[in-house]
Amino acid sequence: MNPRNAMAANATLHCLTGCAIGEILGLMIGTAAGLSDPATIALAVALAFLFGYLLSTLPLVQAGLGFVSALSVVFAADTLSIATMEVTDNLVMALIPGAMDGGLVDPIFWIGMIIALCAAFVVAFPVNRYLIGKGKGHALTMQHHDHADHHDQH
Amino acid sequence: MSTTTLAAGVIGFLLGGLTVSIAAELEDDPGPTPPPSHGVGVPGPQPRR
Repeated sequence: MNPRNAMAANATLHCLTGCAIGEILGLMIGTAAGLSDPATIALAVALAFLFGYLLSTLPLVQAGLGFVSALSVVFAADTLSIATMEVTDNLVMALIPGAMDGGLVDPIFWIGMIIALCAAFVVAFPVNRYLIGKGKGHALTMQHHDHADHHDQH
Repeated sequence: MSTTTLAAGVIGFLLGGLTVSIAAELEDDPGPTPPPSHGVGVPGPQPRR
């Protein structure tokens, strides 16, 4: 695979994992609590951003970067990717009939989640590829990982 | 924890949720309705006037 494509796929998977944890948690809480669709989507988006940022920030903190510095790097690198995923994810969930209203015991909820997350990956991949090509996005966090590796070697 | 491990966990969770919801759906399903017994519950022919 083209190295840039591989890096973009890795970045997208990384982002998607954090997003998926928050998104699933938000939709589960929203549907279980019987919240309205807009309230459920708002909760899911908030948690997706939270977990998305957290999942990228923690490795940088472990690599020796201060929490605030790590957060600012991640904020610049991941915001567009997470936002793209969230728009796609929630749009697909809203468009699948019954996916938002079915509740956790309805298979359509889980099938909808799987389809929505796959769609989010497909849409966010070219965004991440473009950002990496510009030296932005996940390329920023990779620079900090490389710096940490060099420090470890010295 | 690596991203791959977390991603695998998310996929497993989604598939687990799908399996449990399908199982719950099947449990609620009363099954196929039996065919009506001959003549039972079927209104007889109306007398012509």
